[in-house]
Amino acid sequence: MTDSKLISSKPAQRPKRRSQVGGVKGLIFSLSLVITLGLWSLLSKQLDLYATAASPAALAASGSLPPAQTSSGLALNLPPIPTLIPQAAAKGQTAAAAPQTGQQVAQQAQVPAAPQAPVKIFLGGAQPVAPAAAPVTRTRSSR
Amino acid sequence: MIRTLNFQAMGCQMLAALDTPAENGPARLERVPVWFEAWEQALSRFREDSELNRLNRSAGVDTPVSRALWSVFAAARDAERRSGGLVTPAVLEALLAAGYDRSFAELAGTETAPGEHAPQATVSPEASAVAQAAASAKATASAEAARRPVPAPSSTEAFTAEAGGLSAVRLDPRRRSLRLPPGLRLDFGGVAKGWAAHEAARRLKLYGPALVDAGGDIAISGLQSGGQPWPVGVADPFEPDRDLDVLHLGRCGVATSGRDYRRWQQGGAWKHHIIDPRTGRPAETDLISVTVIAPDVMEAEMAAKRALILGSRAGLAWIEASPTLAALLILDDGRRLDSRRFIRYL
Repeated sequence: MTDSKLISSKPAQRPKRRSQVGGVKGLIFSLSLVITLGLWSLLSKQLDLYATAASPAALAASGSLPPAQTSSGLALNLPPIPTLIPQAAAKGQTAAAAPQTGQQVAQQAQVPAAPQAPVKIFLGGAQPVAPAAAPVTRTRSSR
Repeated sequence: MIRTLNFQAMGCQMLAALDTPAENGPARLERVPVWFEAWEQALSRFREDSELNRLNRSAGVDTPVSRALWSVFAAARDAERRSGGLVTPAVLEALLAAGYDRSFAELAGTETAPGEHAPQATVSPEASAVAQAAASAKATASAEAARRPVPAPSSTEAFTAEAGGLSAVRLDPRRRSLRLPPGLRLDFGGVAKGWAAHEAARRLKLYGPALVDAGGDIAISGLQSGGQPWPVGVADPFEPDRDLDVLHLGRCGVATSGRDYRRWQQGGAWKHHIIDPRTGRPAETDLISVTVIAPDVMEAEMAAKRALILGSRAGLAWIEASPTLAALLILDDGRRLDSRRFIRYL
């Protein structure tokens, strides 16, 4: 009579685990590579080290600031920080944009005053849209 | 679309404006002079056959009156109460004594024109003194009566008032009749114009936002149909064709009381038509004109006159203490005082 032996499954699992681990390592490596490349791409765009050079006209049209010269001579072509230019008062005063800070060159904006209808309060009436131009009539002592 | 109509009535230049796209807008406005003619026939003391003069000649007799005269009397009585007796129609004797015994156009000798001065009145000094004494006595009695509280009339029985001022007038609401006490004659003056502007605007607003200007007393029914306010100038009393300011108004009333135009010479002295009931004479005041914005034109007219009589100090203080009023006061030396709320309308 022949004794049967229980054949252990462990040796069969060993190759499967190796492939799983290898797959995970590969996945991790791939993800790391992708992330690194992505970050590098973002950083390179910010620094514009590998960007295609734009013409001065295109730079002006895009609102980019003229390059500022650093002490090392490295040209930095940094885009401006958007500023909110407040609406001017009704008296026609001009408003200036808030100046930039840091290495960026500030651009003072002079914009024509946007006329505003003054707020008026009326007895029993709704808020008006805009006042009429010329008086309809004139109050005066009885005549 | 704003349509306007200019016309003459009650001795003044009038204007009616209606904001309506309807084709019959002009036809609606054409009714306004007809209304004013009917009201003038009822309320004018310068028409011999007016209802007011018939009432003035019927002292001591219960006299039925029209709706218009009844409404104006009620408005005048309300103005007398609110002004503490300073604004009252019971000043006809004083006006006659001061020389205002005919329409201003006749007094001036020419058609009404801004800035023109009137010739001397024809009242003799003796007649003037007698009339002045009578007016002063009556004014004193009126002022004392006005200081006493006026009891509200019952709706079901005739109201018998105390002596003096409008409180001495007996009213019968059921018959719509008035009984003037002997010696009392009425002149509604500015109250009538304010009431007429108010009533005309009330009727016109059925067809659209309306503005009615009755000789400077202006009633506005509401904002224009586009939501914008009505621009109304404030005439400079020293240069009537120039605006001191432009007001932007919704539903309200605005009126100006002044001694810059209706004035004349009598016995070498300048007189004007704003009588101070406390003295029975033209008010002695440092103000040449007062413009008031109020919830309605009748209140504006009363407030402007009261402030003018009180003078700049007391008048401005009273305006400031009244939360529904805003005013522009011009002193006779040219200085200008704005109440705190006035700037809201500029």
